[in-house]
Amino acid sequence: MRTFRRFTSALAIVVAAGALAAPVPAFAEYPEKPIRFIVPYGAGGASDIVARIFQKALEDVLPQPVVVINKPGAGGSLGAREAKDAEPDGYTVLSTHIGLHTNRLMGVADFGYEDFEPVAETGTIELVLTASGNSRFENVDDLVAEAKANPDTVTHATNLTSVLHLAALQFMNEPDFTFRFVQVGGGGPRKPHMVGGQSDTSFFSIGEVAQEIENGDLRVLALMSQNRSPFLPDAPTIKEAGYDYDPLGVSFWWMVPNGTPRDRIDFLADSFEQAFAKPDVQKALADRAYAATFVRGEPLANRVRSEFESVKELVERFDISK
Amino acid sequence: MTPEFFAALGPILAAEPLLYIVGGVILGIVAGATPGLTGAMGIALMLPLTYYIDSKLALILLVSMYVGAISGGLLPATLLRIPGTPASIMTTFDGYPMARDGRPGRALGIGITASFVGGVISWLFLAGLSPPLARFALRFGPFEYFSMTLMALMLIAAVTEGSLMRGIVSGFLGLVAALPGLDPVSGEMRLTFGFHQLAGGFQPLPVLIGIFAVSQILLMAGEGAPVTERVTTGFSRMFMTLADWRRQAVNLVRSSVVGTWIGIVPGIGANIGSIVAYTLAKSASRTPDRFGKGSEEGIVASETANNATVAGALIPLITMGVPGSVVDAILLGALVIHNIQPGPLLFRNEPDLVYGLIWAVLVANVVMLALMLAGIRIFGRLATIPKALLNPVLLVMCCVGTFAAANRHFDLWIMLGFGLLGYVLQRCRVPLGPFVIAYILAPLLEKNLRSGLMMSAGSYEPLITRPISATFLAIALVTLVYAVVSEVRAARSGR
Repeated sequence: MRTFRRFTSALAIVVAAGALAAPVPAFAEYPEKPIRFIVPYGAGGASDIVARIFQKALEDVLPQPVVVINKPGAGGSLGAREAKDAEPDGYTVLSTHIGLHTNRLMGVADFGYEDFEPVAETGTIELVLTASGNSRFENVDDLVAEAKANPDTVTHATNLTSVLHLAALQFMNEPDFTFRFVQVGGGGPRKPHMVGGQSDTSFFSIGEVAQEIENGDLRVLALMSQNRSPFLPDAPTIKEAGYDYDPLGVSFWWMVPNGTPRDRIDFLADSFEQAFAKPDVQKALADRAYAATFVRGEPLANRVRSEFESVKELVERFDISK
Repeated sequence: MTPEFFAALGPILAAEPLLYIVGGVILGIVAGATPGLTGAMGIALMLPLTYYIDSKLALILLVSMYVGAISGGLLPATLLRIPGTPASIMTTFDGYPMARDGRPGRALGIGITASFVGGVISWLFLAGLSPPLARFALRFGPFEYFSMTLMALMLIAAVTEGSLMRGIVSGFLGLVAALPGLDPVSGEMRLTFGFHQLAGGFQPLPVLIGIFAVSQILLMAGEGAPVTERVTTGFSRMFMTLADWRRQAVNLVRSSVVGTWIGIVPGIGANIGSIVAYTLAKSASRTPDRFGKGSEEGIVASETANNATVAGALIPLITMGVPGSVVDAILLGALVIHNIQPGPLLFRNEPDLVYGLIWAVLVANVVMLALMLAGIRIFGRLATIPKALLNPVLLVMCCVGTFAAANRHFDLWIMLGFGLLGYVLQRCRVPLGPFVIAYILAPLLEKNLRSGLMMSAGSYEPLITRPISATFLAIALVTLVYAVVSEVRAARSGR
């Protein structure tokens, strides 16, 4: 906030000076041209929606407009590569998440979080473990009991090598059982697949299946979070079900290529923090049932690194990189 | 039909929504009628512009464009033998021969009327049968999807015109084009030959624009356009007579129902609907030999069914959030961007929006009929622009549309490559239809079979033990046997 005020007052002085003195002095205060947000996924996806929310919210925070560019392909690594190779001048910002880690660890991309400086985390998608509305499983205990009694028979619809797959591996780990994984793909095809009772269990984001949960088409077995969610107050957490670990989710991260000047990173983080605090943004995130997490600076760098380590451990333990 | 349903009609007939409907239909017709611009492309390009308008109006605009585009595809299909949208491929078989014989007005007139009838009949399904039909489609698992796709491929194989061998070559190349990219199950790179740009495979937009639009531009540039001059003559007998109505009644209803049903089936859109309806019309016809040479029944079947898929495909979209076609996948993106969660609860939570949207589909069809009949000469001119003017503009539009989809320069090379491939294939008289269909369906076929086999731990048994899947497979088998038998019979009688 302080930086912003300082900036606007500086701007006011410059504008006033410009009006008085001619010719206008060359003034190169960042940002002096539009900032590109590279969204390495298609229009309409969660990352795109969050990018558009912040594009709008940053309109009156930044003196320059934000341009959102969708660069989908290869699980997000095409757009990420472009951001990595961009000039580290603070004018290219990558929208990314845990996919950056999985692409690296699965060999889809030969670069990773070390090639970027994290700017801010603005919101998190929490996952729910669901079964069909008329499933024989009422809760996690039912599921674990059957899965342990009959190994490799309980089907789990997923999108292999995505965060959903990793979340399932993470969940299987402690009760020590194996799902029979079924590759169905993204939320679009997986939702009717689950409502129709084709597979026994699947992970979704809360927002994705809020209606199906409400009208009983899907049943929540557990919320993959340490704390209950305001969006699903009745859903027990995985911790309450007796498994105490830090479950994976999808946090929206903003990153810039390595070498971007520290003051520009701080300026961007300040801008994101201001935009994040706006009621419009809070409402837009809540409407989609995204948890309102904001992290920046050293805590964010630690979080990104520790998430990478968790994913790496899972990938190596279950040998899913190839 | 609830009181809420009828209450939603009034607001749609207000000035503002009507403006959006008329504007959407015109934009759609232009996109559909301009070779190289498809409805999907037009709607995708329009999507960013709707961020700033009310969500209901935005959806009305996009759905109206959808109706206009599928209908507008008839014009270049008939006048230029270029399907303006892939959904009009079947229309080229009969519309173009009729136009070449000096009856373009007649061909367009019955095509437009058929489009309207298809739109209205399928709308009745959309309005009345959404919930029960959606519940039925929920019973489809991977095995059902696989069998259904296989059935669709068999039906396509059955309609391939000319040499079966050339059709197979075309289809095979289409399958090959669908292979590169990330393996859907293991996530490994497949056939990318070290090009990281190919990690996402050959994307549909560059491939389709290349194979249909660019190759056609090359052909037109190299040989001179096949028609264009004929177009201005013979805009007579556009309206269907009572005798026409009587003759086509069964065809209209059958093609509407087929189109609606195929629209409802997720993933399969207007092109398959038109192909299946065309095949059925041909086999039911008393003059099947006229098909492919200017049969009115062929045009009616294709255009009725492709328009019927529009309302049909909206059923799974709004009731389950599952796109029924490529265009619906874009519409789903629009729903998400406007923060509307499609699903059974939509009818309960936002009746005004969902019923308003349903009414807008009907109004858009009426507007389409009026605009197309009144403006056919103007819209028809889109196809009569001298090719020296048309080709460069089209090529620029192809490039812009291809680039805009993913902002990737590499896609332009893909577009050009497939343009050259399409050019070579057409010069060798290899049909492009099977190529495109195989290219679009191959990933569905592969993903669903692999999902199914993962579910059953490798057993193929559910394919025949699950009743819906078994039904689809039986139809596929019957179609295959029928195609082979008629091929053999034709060869014998030819000798």
